[in-house]
Amino acid sequence: MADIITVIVNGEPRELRVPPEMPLVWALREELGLTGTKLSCGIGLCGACTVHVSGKAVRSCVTPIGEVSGPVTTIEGLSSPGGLHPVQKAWIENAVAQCGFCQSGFIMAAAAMVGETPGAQPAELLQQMTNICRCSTFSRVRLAMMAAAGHGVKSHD
Amino acid sequence: MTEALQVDRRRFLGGAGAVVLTLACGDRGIARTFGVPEPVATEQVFSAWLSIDARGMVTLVNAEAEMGQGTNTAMAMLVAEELEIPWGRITTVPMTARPIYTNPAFGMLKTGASLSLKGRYLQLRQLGAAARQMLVEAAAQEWKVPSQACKAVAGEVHAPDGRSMPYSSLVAGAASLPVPQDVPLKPRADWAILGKPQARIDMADKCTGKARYGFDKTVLGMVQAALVHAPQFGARVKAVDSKAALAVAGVTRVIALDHAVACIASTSWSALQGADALVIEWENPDPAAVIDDAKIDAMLRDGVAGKGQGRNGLIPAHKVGDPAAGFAQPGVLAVSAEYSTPYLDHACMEPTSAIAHVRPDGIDIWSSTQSPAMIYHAAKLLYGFEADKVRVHQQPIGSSFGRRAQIDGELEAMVLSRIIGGPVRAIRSRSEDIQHGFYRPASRSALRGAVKDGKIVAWSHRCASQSLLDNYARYFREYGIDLKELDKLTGPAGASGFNFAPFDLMSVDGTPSNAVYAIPNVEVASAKIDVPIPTGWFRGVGQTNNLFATECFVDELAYAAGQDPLAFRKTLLSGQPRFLAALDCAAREIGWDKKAAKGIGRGIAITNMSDAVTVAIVEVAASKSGFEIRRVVLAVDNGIVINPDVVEAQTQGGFLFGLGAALWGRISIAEGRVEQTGFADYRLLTLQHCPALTVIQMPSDDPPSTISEAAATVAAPALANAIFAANGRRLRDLPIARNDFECRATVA
Ligand code: FES
Ligand code: FES
Repeated sequence: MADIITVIVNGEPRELRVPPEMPLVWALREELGLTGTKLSCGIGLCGACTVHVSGKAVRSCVTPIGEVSGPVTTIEGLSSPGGLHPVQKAWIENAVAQCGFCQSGFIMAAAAMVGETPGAQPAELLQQMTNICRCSTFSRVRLAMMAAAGHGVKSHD
Repeated sequence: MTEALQVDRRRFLGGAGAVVLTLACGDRGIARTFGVPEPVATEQVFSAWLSIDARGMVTLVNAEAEMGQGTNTAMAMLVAEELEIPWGRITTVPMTARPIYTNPAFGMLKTGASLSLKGRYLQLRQLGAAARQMLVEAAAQEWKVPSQACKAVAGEVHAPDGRSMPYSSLVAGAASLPVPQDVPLKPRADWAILGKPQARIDMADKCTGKARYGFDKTVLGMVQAALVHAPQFGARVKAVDSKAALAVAGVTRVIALDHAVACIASTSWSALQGADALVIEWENPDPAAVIDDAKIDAMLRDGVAGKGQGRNGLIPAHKVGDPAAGFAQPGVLAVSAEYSTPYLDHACMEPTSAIAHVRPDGIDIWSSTQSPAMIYHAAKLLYGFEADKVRVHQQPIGSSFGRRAQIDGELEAMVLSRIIGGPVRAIRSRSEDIQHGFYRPASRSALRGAVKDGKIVAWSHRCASQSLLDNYARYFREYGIDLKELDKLTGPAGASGFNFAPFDLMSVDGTPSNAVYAIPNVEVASAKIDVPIPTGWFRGVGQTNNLFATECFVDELAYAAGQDPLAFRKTLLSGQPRFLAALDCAAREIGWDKKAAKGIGRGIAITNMSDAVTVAIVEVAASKSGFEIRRVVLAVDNGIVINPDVVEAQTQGGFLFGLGAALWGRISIAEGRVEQTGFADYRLLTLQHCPALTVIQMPSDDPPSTISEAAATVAAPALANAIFAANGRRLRDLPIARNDFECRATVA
């Protein structure tokens, strides 16, 4: 019988009765119904499963739920009541998504990057973005990342 | 005069000065791929296709799979234009498959072969026009005025006296009217929505996590089934030790099929853990029949050399003029070379999964499929249900590239559901996914060419590969499904994709048998090899193999003739104004006429795949040990463009998809199985290697044609040609990484 694990997800404490080694991605998707977080490679390489833990980008397919030590934000919780996160806005304005399956992960990764290092140089940002997109939307990912960084994503204003 | 149109995203996204293709054009007949009659699928306008709610929001059933190629938006645009509703007042829902949704260009209900627009371009405009006419008629009857005096404007019908009624209050009346046939369609000059960049209607959902895919679908009471397939091709299950699997919390059952074992559990995680813990003994095929890369390579070499026996011999596919005489002319310079390409996996972002619920009275399937009709026809042969008892609920697909045209996962889900007696979701790990794909076959091309007076006077192309089609259907036999029966059910000959002929036409796509060049003497022959590797459609299909050889060899001949590859191609394309225009445009954009600095090279590749014109020019900086891609220009003529924004995105994406494959893509075979286990050993493109990419859209009044597939095929040859131009190294074997030659990051 698994112990109860409590995590804060998108601002709300949630109690889960799952084994601590269950990857966070499955807990989010199947226990909490938060399917905006995707799974693709399952080994921490593609970034489709990216969420934030304490504001930092984490690949949830290789993060056991038992090791999650801070509040979790998923794509469903990225925007504030005031509106979309600036990275989401940049993504929509630049029409990045094709099939969209990888895009939650891209947006979460980009949001953590621009949030963490305001004023980071374009090359630095682009170097850090290692997510995979099989539709190969990279040309527009680049535009959207630059737009988001240029708009100064420092706070949810 | 043709003037190129460069789409500038910022301009049209900013709303100012939208880019519009303004060429006048009548509606031409759309080329029928399988020779089926003109589409008339409007009988059930309101019952099957359209609904309009109280707020006037129109919902269209999308009968094409949405897998990133933008059908949700394109289909809605086609209807909205004729229905006279403002853009933004229409949305789409995925269909539950029914024969009436059949794509007229395909002849069956399937998404693929770049036929979504070809098939729906007339059909959905006719549908929108018929619906509009019915709404107008309903209003006219209400007002007791002649319908000709009424007009549809922005979701309302206006009477001559100024009265108006919104569509929402007319739907009930309109739905009971007869469906008018042959309502004239708007001339292109009057288009308000089509041909202009429209925002994808699902963009916001895809950026907020709201978009749901097959992989996200849940059905009440379903269990998870994680499958482990026989690692060696053709192996069978001999014995299963399920003790450790059953000890995993949540695992309830282990079911052995012939070719695979399923671990059943309440959650995906438990099922996958249990599957990992299974100890399976396999009945492997005869060791003498076990294949590997070396054996395959030898077979391909024998194939192009004409040493294959019986059905593996060279079959002539195409002949123009007198090739032997062409080569024998005095004063010709003959050149020969061989090219090779590897097996490729689709590596879809969305892992393969499907949900099935087989009941005594019918079946429900929920899946990210490109082939709903194949599913309901296969279900008929498996269980005897008529098509209307098999409800295939189309789910949006998280990328496919042809992979989800295969229904292997759906068949497994059905069989397991039937055994379990409830809904089952069949899933697999990424390593299962990559080891049990339907690969783009490896190929070898042997070319000979002769040049004289700066022109190609003879060309011989011998290619060898597995058939794309022969092996695709093998898995149906696992279930005792007769392919000929299934083929009969699916539609007109050829629609199913099964191949009963000795020859697979796709195996010569991209050779000069369908190239646009004017070459007086040509022979193309193809040999197939028989190995038990599942193969299937892939973005760009046969072209991805042969075009690499063809377009590189055109360059080899250009250099042999002492000519510039651009000028050389232009001579061969003198009767092809669309190609000449696109080539000139791309060349101008990249600055072809300015001499490149030392170590910089530019390479061209073109294709006429699916009636589109696609030209790529790549610029690289290369040393002996490595290179970086500096720039890519694509000039495309896709016929009449429905949504320029999506054309640009698909062209970029298609090219980069092909580029990643050219650089690193390779499925290797050892001991009768795929060696790769996931994205760690099947390298995929990331942002760091994406060059700056310009897409130029040529104005056109030809019928809509393919977009991304063609763009995927030109990447490898344009790149290899650029590398040769830069450092004199001719790379003839893909992927490029196999040549001890590193592609350096472009984003540094
Ligand atoms: S699914 Fe987690 S990184 Fe790929
Ligand atoms: S948008 Fe389809 S995989 Fe990235």
